[in-house]
Amino acid sequence: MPDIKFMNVTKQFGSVIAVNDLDLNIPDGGFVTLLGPSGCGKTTTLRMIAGLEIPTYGEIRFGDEVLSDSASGKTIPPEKRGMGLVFQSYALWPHMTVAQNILFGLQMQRKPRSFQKDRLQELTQLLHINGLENRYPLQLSGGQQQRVALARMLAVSPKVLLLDEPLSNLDARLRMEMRAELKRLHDQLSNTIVYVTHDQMEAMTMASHVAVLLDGKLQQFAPPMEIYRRPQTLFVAEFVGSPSINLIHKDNRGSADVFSSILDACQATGMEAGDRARIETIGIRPEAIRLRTQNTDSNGYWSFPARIDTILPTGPEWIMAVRIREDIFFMTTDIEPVVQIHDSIEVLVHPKGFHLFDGQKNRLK
Amino acid sequence: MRVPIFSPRRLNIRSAWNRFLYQRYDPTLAIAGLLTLVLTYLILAPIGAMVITAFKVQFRDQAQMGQALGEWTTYYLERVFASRVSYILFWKPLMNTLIVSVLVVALTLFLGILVAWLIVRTDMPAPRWLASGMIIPYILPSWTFALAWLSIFKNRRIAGVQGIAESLGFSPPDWLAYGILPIIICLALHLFPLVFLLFGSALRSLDAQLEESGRILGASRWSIMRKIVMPLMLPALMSAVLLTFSRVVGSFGTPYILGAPVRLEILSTSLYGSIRTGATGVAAILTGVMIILGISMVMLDNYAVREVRRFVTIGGKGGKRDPIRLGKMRLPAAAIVYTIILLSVIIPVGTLILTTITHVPGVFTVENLTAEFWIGQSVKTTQEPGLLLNPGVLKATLNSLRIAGLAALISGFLGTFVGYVVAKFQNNLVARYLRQVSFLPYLVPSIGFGAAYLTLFAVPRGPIPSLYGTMLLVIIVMSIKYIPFASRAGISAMMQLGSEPEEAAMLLGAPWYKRLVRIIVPIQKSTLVTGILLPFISGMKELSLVVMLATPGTELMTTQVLRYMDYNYNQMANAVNLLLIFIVVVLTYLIQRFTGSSLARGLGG
Repeated sequence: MPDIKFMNVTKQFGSVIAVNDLDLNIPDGGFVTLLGPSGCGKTTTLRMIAGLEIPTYGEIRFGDEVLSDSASGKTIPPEKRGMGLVFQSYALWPHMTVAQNILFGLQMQRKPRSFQKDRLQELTQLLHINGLENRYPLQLSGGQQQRVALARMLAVSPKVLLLDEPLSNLDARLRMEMRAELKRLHDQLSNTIVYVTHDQMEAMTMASHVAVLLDGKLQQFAPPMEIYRRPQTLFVAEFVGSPSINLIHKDNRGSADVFSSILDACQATGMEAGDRARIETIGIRPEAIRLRTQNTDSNGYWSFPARIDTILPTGPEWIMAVRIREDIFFMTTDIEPVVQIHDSIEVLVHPKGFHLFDGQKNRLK
Repeated sequence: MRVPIFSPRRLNIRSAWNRFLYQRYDPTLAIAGLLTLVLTYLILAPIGAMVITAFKVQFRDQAQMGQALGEWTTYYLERVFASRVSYILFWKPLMNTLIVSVLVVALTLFLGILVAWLIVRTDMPAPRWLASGMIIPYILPSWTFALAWLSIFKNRRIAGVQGIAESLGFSPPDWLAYGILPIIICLALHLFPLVFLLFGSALRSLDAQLEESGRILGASRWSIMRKIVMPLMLPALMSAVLLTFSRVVGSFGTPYILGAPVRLEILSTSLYGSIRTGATGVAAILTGVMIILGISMVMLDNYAVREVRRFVTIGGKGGKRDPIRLGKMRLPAAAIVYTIILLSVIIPVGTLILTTITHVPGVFTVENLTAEFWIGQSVKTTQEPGLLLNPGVLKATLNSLRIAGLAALISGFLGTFVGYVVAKFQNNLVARYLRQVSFLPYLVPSIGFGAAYLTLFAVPRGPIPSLYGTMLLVIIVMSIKYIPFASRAGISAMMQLGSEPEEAAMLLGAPWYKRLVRIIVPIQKSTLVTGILLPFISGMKELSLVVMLATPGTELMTTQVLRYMDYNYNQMANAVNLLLIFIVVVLTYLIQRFTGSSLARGLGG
């Protein structure tokens, strides 16, 4: 199956720009998540693939087929695109039973009854909703409704499956289960899946590629681990990761000596003076911070005195808040800390653990 | 769950006394007791009195029946259902009622759905005011259309100034001027906004994603309409149908004004006739029939809603969708909608205005213009001063304002207290009783409720003197009739609020009246204000409830319109009705300004 290509796509609602000059190539068979805070344009992007929104400018292609093209004004209506879209609210038809909901698309295609029957059985088994065929959506739990919504769209064997925050209405446990289920489904069906979410955890765990959007602009498009390890913009660095990345700003007077001390550490790694001068913000991931103990080999590490502010055990790990000058930094460790609150300690960070951003909030190096 | 403070098992005098003293801190129980007494007396007693009336020999029938006053009898039952007069008294009016209801419902459905669909779903040019404009016919007093109809179509069958059609040289036949056809048209023009409102807001709030799912699965617009939208609109339509039906059954002014010239009766006018002729036993039976009709409507509605609710809940955020492009049909569609506004607002009101500024309506000469109906010293027909100088009109206006205002205040506060008690006691016996009793007046058609009050209060009973002819009686009957709306609003508002805010104040040491004044009333302010202003407007327009209770001393604007019509003083009736419309429209405007809401909110283009 072909790739989905966005070429300079902009979508405006009145004077509001929802999607701004988007270039994106969604690879065939990929599991791509569109990640971003609410209002970043991710749902609009998804709806443009489905054909529910038409781009103001630019072109969307599906392989060689033009889905929408603002220059020629051509657009294929949603009912002719053969995509599947699962809404956040599921949008199950409350007056139809589970079976009627699932079979609606096939009835629109006038598929023979025997085919419908087989497909229903196949899908209910695939999604573990057999036995519920004659219930109404309101008689189902949230997780079951979710599965029916999926089955309804899978019934027509869509070329691409579009999911709009499908798990946000489920409780934590169900969400985990459905994540695993969706990933399994993707392996089994090998459809292209485009998945919208504001939950970075969901994006990280499921996707083959993540597109991070902010204010309608694409920030970064990369596999999840690369997004985490090499965020291309300050926004991506902040948005992905929990606890979130610790930041030190150049113009923050309270931590000026921390900032300059890190610059010195960077100099030691051979960074050029011109580059160093452009650094505006330094980010350090929580797990990159370590405490100096007596037998730590601190050679090549940046170190700085700090004080333990509080310790938050989460079970598998400990989150510690340490105060460095005026700022609170969060660090995580999977070894039970031997320190107490208010202890004076020293923190260590390997220079590789510094994420450096310039005044335009873009990554340096 | 409310945990009892004193164990109910050790109920002895001491504990009862302590409980009583505890009312100082939390007088909910005392309020509940008081409400129970008051509502039982004012709601159940009149209905009970009427039931008794139906089965006991009345004073004027003693001789004819050969039974003594006050003996039990089934005479009235037989007279209504199986006697020589029962066809005229009951069966014919019942049939007329059903014919009128069914046709009005059909017509309102057609108009309401058409207009709602055009305004909500299509790219018809619809300025912001259009949706609000569509509500106006419902805000107008219902008989406005009947007055306008007569002003245009009346022929020489009845006295008074000639109709506009007559002046223009066309003499309308009776079937066009009076009776069932004009009644149906006038009621439909008045009531179609109900369908428009209910259907339109359901259509607007239907989750757009439900339709988008259909599109993605390859359904055409028509399939989506037929298989998804229409089935989901069913509950709203059902409510609209039943509401319209019960409005028609309870209507009085329109069928009276348009039916009387050709002796066309529906149940409500037949009931009025029975009371006027002193046949209270028959009237009681007729009222009973109307109550049963009312109850079955409500039960049908509950049943339907419950059946549908099993699988459908309407709700959701709506969401934006592209309007349906009408293309070439855009202007014709607009023409239809504006024609409906023309027919249901501009022509009726315009006709009323025209008749009050001309000697002979429909004659368009300068000499024919007159201001006598408004500021004349003595109007030729009535020998009374014109409207603005008329002490009778002034008195009726003040009466209307005073009675509707007081009644709205009383029912608003009673309703809030019912809500307070019900929310606090949740499901205990008193709460359930109050909830149901306070809903009861809704089931009784206004004209029947008025009749019931007349039965109970026409003569002195025990310590209560005869209240007939007093302003107090009119105020009481109106307050009680409007309680269902107030108490429903009060219950849902209080339930939503929960008891925590008050309990928090309790823990901080606030005594009960302070909690009421500082916590509950401010939080519920807007509910309370709407709960008072809306009944106030309804009260200004109330006719069927008070038509039997108003006396020359307690004349209201609405009954005065009717009295002028009885004497065929059409133009004076029209003038008083215009004044009433003016007051009602101003009040409605104020309420919308004050609450920042609009009945047609969200329906605009």
